[in-house]
Amino acid sequence: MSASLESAGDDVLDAARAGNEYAFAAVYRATNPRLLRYATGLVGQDAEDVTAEAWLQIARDIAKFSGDEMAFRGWASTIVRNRAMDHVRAQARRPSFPMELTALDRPSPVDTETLAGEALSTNEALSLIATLPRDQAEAVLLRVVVGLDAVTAAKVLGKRPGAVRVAAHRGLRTLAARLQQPETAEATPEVTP
Amino acid sequence: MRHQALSPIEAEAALDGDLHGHAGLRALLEAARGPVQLHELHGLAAATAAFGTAPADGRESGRSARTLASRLAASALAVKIMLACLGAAALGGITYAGVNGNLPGTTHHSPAAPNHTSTSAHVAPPTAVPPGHAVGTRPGTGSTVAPDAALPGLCTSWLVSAHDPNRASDHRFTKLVNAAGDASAVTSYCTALSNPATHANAEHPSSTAHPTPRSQPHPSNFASITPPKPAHTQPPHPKPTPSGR
Repeated sequence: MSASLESAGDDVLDAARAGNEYAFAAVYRATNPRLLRYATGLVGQDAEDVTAEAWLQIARDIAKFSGDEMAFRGWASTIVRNRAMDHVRAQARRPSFPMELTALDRPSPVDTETLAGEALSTNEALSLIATLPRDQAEAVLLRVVVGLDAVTAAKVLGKRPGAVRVAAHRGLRTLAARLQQPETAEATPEVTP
Repeated sequence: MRHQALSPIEAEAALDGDLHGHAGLRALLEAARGPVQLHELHGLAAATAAFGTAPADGRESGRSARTLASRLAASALAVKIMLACLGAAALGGITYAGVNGNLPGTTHHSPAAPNHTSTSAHVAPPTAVPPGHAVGTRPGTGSTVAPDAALPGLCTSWLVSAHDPNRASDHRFTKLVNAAGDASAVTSYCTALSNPATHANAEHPSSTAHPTPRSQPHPSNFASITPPKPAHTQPPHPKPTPSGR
């Protein structure tokens, strides 16, 4: 699934749940990059603050968690999502939820055209995904970056798996179209519902 | 020029990292799931410190998360130093043991062998052995056995390299695998070794394949955490609600 990101493994997760600090560090190393990228799609540059808050709760409650690594990522993603909502409210950046995923600068059409022909960086890729409507961006990030299946992602988002699947597909179609036809991306910006 | 739209099958393949064609989208998704960047691990020290100060039974303490964060900030520097020393000490210890033929599991005792009742003499980092609980000391007896000084360090390396699928065949871990009895039991063995509640079991890994966890065995279904006690103000099971608590 996420070939370039590590997996801690269920046995290491079990060791962390049992109180082993090194196992917990390994779990962190395998999980936080995914969570941080997901949080970046939610709150942009404040993602590190959000994930740091989330890890305080994860560290406190991991002993009570039960499930495999996929389930752990789903649980941790839910915590990050809730913390992101709290953060947005506290900062009063958005008057109410649902928040818009516009914290990151939208790439210009020139950027998109350039990126389509060059090697993308992770941050550039996240920026492009973040230009999608919120539900589509979250679905893509949870499936692609966090590495969740449709069922687990649906539980994080409080939706049905079918709805998450459709949102992810729509988001990917939009991204594919932008990358294939950068000259038309400028005329049809996505609007958050 | 208009390109072919992404089909549902292709979209699902893209989500699974198995997209053929649509090079632009494929490159985008590969970049999004790209390798770990250094800044993405900056919070490791604080998270580990929070884990170390969490109640052993996982129950919520009376302190708020904000208070805990304040306390952790003060100790973050110390934890960073500790973690930096851990890697150097473990690597150096393993190398030293290998060069001197004093790998774990050997019965050779040199005159300069360290006092095994002192944690400072071990390769293991301070947190590998619970405070007041010397390696090799059987709980309740106070007697000492001949432990392998490098085992905690090897355990550290084993756990940190969890992502390495070939670690079981790595010659550096041969002694650790032998000590645990089997490669599949090493993680449990290491967990028990660093856990005072299960340390006694670690001395007999063949009889206890799994350490005693702090919580009940988990089912294989979706994530959940044990329901809270009524006194808790924060639901332990995370729900996609705005509060997150």
